[in-house]
Amino acid sequence: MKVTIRKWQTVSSWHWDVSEECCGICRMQFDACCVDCKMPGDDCPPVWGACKHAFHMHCILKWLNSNQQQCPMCRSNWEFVTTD
Amino acid sequence: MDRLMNKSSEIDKVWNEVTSKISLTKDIYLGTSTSSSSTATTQQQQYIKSNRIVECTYKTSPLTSVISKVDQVDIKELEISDFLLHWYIDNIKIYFNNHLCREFWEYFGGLGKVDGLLLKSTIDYDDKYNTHFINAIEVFNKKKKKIKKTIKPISILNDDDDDDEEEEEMEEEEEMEEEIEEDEQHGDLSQMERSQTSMIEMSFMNESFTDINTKEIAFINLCIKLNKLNFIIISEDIFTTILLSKITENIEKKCKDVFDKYLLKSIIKWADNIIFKWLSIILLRDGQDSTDFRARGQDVFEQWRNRMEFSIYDNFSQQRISQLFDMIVQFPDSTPALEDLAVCYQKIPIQKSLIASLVRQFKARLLHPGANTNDIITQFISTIQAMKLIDPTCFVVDAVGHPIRTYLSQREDTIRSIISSCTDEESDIYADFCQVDQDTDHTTATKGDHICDGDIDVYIDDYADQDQGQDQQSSKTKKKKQWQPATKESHPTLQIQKYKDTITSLVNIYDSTDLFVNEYRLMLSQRLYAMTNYDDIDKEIRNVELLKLRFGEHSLQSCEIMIKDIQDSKRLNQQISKQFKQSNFSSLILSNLFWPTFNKNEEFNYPQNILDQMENFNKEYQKIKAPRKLEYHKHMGFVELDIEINGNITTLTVSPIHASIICLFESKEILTLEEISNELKMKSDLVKRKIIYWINQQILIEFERGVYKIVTSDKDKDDDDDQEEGFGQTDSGTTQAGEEEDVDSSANKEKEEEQWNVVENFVIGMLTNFKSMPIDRMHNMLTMFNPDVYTSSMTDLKQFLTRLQNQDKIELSSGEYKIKK
Repeated sequence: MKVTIRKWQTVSSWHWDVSEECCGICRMQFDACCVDCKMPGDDCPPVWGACKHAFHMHCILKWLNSNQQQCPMCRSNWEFVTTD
Repeated sequence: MDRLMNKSSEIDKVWNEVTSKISLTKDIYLGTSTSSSSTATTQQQQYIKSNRIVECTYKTSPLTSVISKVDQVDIKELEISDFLLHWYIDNIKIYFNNHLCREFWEYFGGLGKVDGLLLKSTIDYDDKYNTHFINAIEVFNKKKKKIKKTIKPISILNDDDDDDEEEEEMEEEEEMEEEIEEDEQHGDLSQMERSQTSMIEMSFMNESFTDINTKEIAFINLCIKLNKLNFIIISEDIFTTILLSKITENIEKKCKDVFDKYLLKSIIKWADNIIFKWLSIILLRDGQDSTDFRARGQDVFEQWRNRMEFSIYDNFSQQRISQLFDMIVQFPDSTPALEDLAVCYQKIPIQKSLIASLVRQFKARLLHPGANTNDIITQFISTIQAMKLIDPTCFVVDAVGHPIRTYLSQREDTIRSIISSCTDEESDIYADFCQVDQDTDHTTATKGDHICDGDIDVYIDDYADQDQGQDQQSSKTKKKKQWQPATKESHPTLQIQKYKDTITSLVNIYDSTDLFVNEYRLMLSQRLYAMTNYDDIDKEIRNVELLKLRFGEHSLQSCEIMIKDIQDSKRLNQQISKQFKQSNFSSLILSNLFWPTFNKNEEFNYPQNILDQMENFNKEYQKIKAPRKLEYHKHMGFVELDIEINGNITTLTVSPIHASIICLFESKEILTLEEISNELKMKSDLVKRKIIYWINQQILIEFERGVYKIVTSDKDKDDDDDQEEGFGQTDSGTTQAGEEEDVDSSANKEKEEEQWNVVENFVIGMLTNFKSMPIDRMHNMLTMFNPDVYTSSMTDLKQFLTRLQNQDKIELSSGEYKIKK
């Protein structure tokens, strides 16, 4: 007997590789989007600081724009860490 | 013969008695009248006066009038007068019913000349009466010459002109007699037979005789007499009964089961031409030129006419209401009938009976378990549209639709049916669904209670505008004083909003739109999972856009994300497969928070080569979309595969779990259950369940218990089952479905098993702590402390405990359970 697989369609779901589940600022899950966005994923990615804390990019930018330059979680100076 | 003779002589006797008594009263009457005044004018006055007495008293009851008259005369007269009156009424009744009514009916039902008045024969050429009439005329013409000689000129009867009523009354009876006798004469000319019949036997008269002219004249004369006496008023119930029965008969005959024609107008026309003509003959031809009479006749005529008109509308609407359900079923073909009913709805108060009757019909014919949900929905939609024709304020719609809505909301598959018919391009609802009123605000349309607030606000604001310029304070208090809570009926906008269009009214079955959106999400997800051709997605996008217009952007956000996921996956799959030059592996990459929850299923592994591909895919994905990772839902998705056995190729689309099993057999023809479950890391009972599919497909065979091999020869096939060769793709749907059910029930079983495990632990714990316990106390404790897990009854618990007893875990002694040592 020979089995030829023409198409094997699987179903998977993506997750951000983040240790915490929720953004510390908006308390939304990283797999969802921040309060201002509609589409999760590419449109609303999380970013990491040097302190290893992660937030939605939009959330932390809003925070930084309000003249706070520390991480909202640990109060150390905020620095973006680029992944890969 | 003797009996008849006896009877007639008896009646003669009574009759003589009556006449003498009546003449006695007449004398008294005349005596009083002459004593008061002897001039003609006073007599006239007296006449009018007594006439009035009769008129007003007869209106209330014939009997009381007699009493009132008799009071002045002699109390003994009562009996006789009473008898006389009844006799009179009975006679008129019998005469009408048996003689005049029928023939006259036939006469007026068709074309003909009534006293110089040409009746237009525009109504219903096919009317049965018409042909009857023509036949009657023919018969009559044949007989006419023969009969003519024997007819006494009836007009002689008309000669008397007495002012006294009592006399008239008497005379009237005599006339009747004569008329009747005359009829008899025409019926059969033999004097012998004539003597045998008596006036009371007129009901047995020969009905086949159709001397219409004679009867017409007789009838008209009678009417004139009656009119002169004002007796027409007491005959009202007789006429009314006759006319009403005719109206009902006609309406029933014309309207029954005919919904596609406008009939109300033709019925009104028919009534104008026949009923009211007839009535005018009865009432208006009083044979006197006195304007007083004429005016009064006119008044009475108008009165009767109005009453009859009302009865026609009433009868018509009752007939229509009784068939309203069928009309709704046939909607929109039944629009004419409904519009007729709408006219009645405006004219006479039928709202209550309409609602009650329709609700009753719905309950009896529609809202029962035997009816298909789709049919109920269709009927519901037709009902709304039909009732809107009748009552544009939607009050009736709301009242009638309420039981259907309540019933539908209890059915589980309602939402599903609605959604699927909304999105099914072939259904009627789809057209409505696509037609979204752009101007309306969705939030008000969907949230019923907010409309109300909004409208009341508007009302108050309007009011404030009117009061502009006045003192704010005073206008406020005035406003407060004048404000009244809006009643249901006086607030039509609410109902109209609710039934604005089909979809809105369907959605309003439920209190919130969330249920709909959720159900739609579920259906959409299922469609998207199964989607092989990504071109279909345009349709889904369109549907989502339409729903967005209806339910608002926000509630359909997750649906949008779902569609975007599919589109993104398509792009990514293309990108990744280019890298690997592999086209048979793909994956839908979903944003799991926005899809309906993936139900967790049994764990199992794919065949190694697929796992490798999966791994590659994953790596590639991470490269492109870092820092993201993929989590596979292995039981989901589908596999298209070709199975080639001895040169026969079978193409199937199966679930990954089935595919994984069959792939194992590629390298080895015979596998045991254990081998399969080890290889795929799945539970053996799951394998057993899933392998049934392949056995049904006649690809595998269980040739020993727990050992499976590929069907390679026809001999194996025959051994397996008597199933015909027609396996393959066509079968797969049904067998798969059967198996899926199997999976469901087994999942339930497993859940139950889990529950009992918890219960067992708890029971053992209790028994350890309390040493021994009776069953009811255990039951109470379980219900109290484990309300989530323990939902069983005491009998279930008893069974379970018996099972534990059998397993030697516990024992029962003197009604209390203990742990067995």
